[in-house]
Amino acid sequence: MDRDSEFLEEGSMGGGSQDNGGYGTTGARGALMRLAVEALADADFYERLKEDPQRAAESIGIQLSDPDAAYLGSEVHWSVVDAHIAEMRDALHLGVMRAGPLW
Amino acid sequence: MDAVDAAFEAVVLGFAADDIALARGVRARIGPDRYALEWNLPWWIGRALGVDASTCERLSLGNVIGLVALRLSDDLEDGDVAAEDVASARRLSDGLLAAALATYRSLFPPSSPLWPRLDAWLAEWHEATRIGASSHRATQLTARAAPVKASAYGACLIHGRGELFVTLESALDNALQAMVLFDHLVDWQHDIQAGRWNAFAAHALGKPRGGGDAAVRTTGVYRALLTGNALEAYINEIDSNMRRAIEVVGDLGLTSLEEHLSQLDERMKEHSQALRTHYRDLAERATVLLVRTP
Repeated sequence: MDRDSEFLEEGSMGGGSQDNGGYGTTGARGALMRLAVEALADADFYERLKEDPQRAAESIGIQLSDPDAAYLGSEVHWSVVDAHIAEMRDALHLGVMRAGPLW
Repeated sequence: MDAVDAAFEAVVLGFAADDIALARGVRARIGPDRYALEWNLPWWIGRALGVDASTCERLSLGNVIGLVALRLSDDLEDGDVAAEDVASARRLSDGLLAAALATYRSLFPPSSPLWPRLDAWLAEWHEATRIGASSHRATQLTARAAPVKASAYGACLIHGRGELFVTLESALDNALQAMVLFDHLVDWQHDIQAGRWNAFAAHALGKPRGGGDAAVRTTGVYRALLTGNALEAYINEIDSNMRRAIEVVGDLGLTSLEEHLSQLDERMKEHSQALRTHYRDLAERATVLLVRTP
């Protein structure tokens, strides 16, 4: 399903505002990216996000709007996300090895 | 390279024939592909200044013998030598260091200004090795490569251009700093797991002294990589060091060294770009995953 909220109103992925050279970490889009990054980097956080999105978001300093909290709480198909995010978490360490040894 | 290898074998057979297999094993790990500076620096600098090939070869031999000695010593310090080989490794390391110094002694009189500098670089290396895992500054870690500068200084002195080395040394320091920082970017996961201080992890976590739970630190570094913030500043630091080195070496007319550093710079940039792309893609995919679940 497509999320119909302010998350999608700030332009395409990776665009928009930059923060200290990052990939767009301010505004509503940035908030979602922070949640997604945290869920990817920290498996425990991901489990907390599934159980209680608002509380999990607050734990990293993000205040979700009511529609966004409702979306994460009841509309996201977490079983689908589970499979993909596990595969992506496995790929986290691949970046270092991608280019091979230099010397 | 073959001549240096043959001379290396002869040196080992001359005082430690029983340990030749151990010496060959370490030598195999420090080949010219991975340790280009140690093998080639005397040639790149010496030939540009007009130093004869025979002298360049002896300087290179001194570097290679010295590097094997110091690697063995590192292995001993890190506990990477099998218990039954420790005595042999210690004997071999000491003997090779003496042989490396003898190579230089055949080129430089006792009054040469090379000796106090070489003593200082060896002391730097010794101190950096001693503090090892607890080191918390990349500049201290570059000290582990300090002895390689002896051959560069030697090549300058032999040609009567000792004054050139002041500028050259700053360029070598910049290049070594960039290489050490890059190594830490590549090795951060292993270092965290092994409990070693790592420059990139310290930068990404904002904790210059490191320390803390390995799993928590690993998660923190991934978080920094995925947001991209830590990576950019760190890569810029590598890049600015390497650019300074290349510029100075170019100004000195050391073309082969300039070419080598430029190639290295290019490969580091490609690797850095691959890292950027990998983590940016993952962050974006994760975000899309939350926004649009099929």
